[in-house]
Amino acid sequence: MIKDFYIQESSPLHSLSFWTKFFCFLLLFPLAGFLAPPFLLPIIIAIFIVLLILSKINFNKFWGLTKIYFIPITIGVIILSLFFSLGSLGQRLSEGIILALRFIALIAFGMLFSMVTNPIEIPAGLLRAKIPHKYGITIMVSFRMLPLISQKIKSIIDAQKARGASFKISPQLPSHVIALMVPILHSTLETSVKLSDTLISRGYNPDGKITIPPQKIKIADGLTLFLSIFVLLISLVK
Amino acid sequence: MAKKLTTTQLLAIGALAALYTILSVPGAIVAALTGISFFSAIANILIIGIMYPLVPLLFKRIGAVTLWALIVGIIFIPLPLGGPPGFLPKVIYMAFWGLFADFIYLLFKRSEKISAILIGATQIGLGGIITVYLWNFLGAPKLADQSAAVATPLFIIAGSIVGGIMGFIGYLIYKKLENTALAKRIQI
Repeated sequence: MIKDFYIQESSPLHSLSFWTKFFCFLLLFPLAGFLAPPFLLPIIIAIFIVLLILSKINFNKFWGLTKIYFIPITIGVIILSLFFSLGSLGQRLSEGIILALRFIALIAFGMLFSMVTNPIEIPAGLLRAKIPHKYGITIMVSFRMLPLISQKIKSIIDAQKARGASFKISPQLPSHVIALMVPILHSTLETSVKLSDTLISRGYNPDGKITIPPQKIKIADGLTLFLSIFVLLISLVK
Repeated sequence: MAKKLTTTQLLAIGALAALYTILSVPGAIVAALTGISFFSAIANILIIGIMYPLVPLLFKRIGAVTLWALIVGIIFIPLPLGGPPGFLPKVIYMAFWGLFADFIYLLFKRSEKISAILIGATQIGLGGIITVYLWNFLGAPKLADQSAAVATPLFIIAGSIVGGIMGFIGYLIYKKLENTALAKRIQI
């Protein structure tokens, strides 16, 4: 699933260091989006659009993957604001729009991170941060197995339905849940055990030493970090 | 001295974290729809109630569910699950729930059935109250307020009952897997 979010391109954003992307797109820009006064929000969104252009990701592709979040959040936040905010109708509406924009900025940067970060960079980044490789491998396995397990679940559900299982709310639901969960868990564990056998047979030792490819910090990393810190600092000025 | 986690156990934890993420997707849609992340937990009551008791039973060791929950938290970073997308304290939030399940398992590990029921009940029922304090502690008062609005006494009682039932289902699922070669492999 998350692997499906990654879009392979050769762009300045894709070549940024994992930690630059992690801090800028998952921490500094989203934080700025939430803390910024309303007049700064269009600037943050403009920065996001520039970054999206730099990433060479097609806007239609981006929209296709994110509309499932953007549309319900915009509608949901505005409706909730109309019900729960204080003030006149206009004030509640504008508060809802501002809050929706903050959420959109947050999700947009999170999605951009997912789209420009290959899942393989995540464990490699963790290894560079001196996090023990056995945990890095575990995280990598989790990310890599998402599409695989997703497919297996679909085929198990189809097989159970073909045998007459129904997953509607009824007194038989617990037994149907068990009938579904047991093969799903068995299949998941079987895949992980097979993978561990492969790793063990190749001499992998979770407590042994491992070689980590070096990575240099480039000018683009420095510029992106500077921009995100600058935007965050401006957002903090009231 | 406690034995270290083996390669098989580490990969099984990773695979179960991936499974939990996929099964939690409906909750992500609910959270995205409402903009309230606590609703993702409510939508995923079934999955939370089954998976949290199941993981310690499958691994039969303290710390496995904490590591599993920590990895789930890392996978959740870009998703609207466990908190808003990109919100890093949710990794600690998720790890706490793993630690909490580990603690319950440690206290009641003599009876697998009771530990499974209690883990399910506390994760969902008592979880409503703990979430409020936890988000305040992690510096997210907005999320704490959202959770407080949902975590009414009725929710806590109903959540504990539903969680207990789910924990029992988790135990039954474990019983089906208990004697398989796979379960034995990951328990070595």
